[in-house]
Amino acid sequence: MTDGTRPEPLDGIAIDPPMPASEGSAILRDTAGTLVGFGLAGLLFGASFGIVMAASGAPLAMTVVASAAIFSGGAQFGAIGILAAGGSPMTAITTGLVLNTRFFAMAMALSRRLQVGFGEKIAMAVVAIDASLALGAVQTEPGATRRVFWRVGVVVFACWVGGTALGAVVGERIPDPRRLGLDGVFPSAFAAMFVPYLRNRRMRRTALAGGVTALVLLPFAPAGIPVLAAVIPPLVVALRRRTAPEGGMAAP
Amino acid sequence: MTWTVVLILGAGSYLLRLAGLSTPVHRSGGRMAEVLDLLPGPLLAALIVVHTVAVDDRIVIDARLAALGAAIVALLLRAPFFLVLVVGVGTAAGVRALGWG
Repeated sequence: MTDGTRPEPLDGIAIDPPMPASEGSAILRDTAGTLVGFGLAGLLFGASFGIVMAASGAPLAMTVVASAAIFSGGAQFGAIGILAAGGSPMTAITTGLVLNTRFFAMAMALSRRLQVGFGEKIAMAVVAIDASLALGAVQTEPGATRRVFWRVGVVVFACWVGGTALGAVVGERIPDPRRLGLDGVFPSAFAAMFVPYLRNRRMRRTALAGGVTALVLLPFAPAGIPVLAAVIPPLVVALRRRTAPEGGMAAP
Repeated sequence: MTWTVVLILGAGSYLLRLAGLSTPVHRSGGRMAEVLDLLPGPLLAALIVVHTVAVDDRIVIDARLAALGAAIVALLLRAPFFLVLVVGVGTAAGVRALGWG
């Protein structure tokens, strides 16, 4: 598709802006593979959270509720780490919430492609995680956003919570996910999800700016801020475009 | 861990997710729509950075960087999603088995 063949959607009417079927979205149709990859990683990293919680003396119920309700490796390991190091509960809660604020931003991006009622959203919010939000938001076919979000979300949630319980009960006999290379699943999966967001120069530059921002902030900023700061480049781009709206937007 | 932390952090996390899903953004156009359509790219880029080189607030080069490199090669060769994951995980496991990172 060339730029001349399709008029730019008017602001405010672009409910479902043009998303050409790209190489990237073809990759992301492989949902079975995605499910196995994220499921396995969720299971074993969930188990390692269960092991750490059990070792700290937490009851099984608290361990499982933590994984089901917080549902975020970063926030859960962050909270237990802060408390174990003598930090206050307030610090643990604040840090966890900052880490999880990215879900707010990603959920907004997803909800743009979603036509479901509030009742369903109440349920969807339970299983909203990086994988389900990002893979859902990038789908191009009608209805695919909702389908992919639910499939990925439910599988990752079940594996994460189930793995947590398993780790808390079975303990150290569960293999270390890092020795199996499973921490490699996150950069690999995010890189694959990333491809459809590199379609044009503007997207590539915004994405690059997000990555560089995170890298620069990483040694200095509190946990969660480096990722959250990635919302700044799109804000800057949109604000600048408002002042110069002559439409470099569709540049390939 | 304490129940207070679990319950408050859990409830807060849930509300952040629900608020994001429930913001009526498909009705808002223009600037907001544009920000949201651009947003996943930089967020994913930041997540790649954090999941590849971060250990708490330190930058650590280890098997994860090798995994990312191998995954990018697989993507350039147009491997399907699952193969990209297998290549990434296999590379990280292999690098660790060799005793690096």
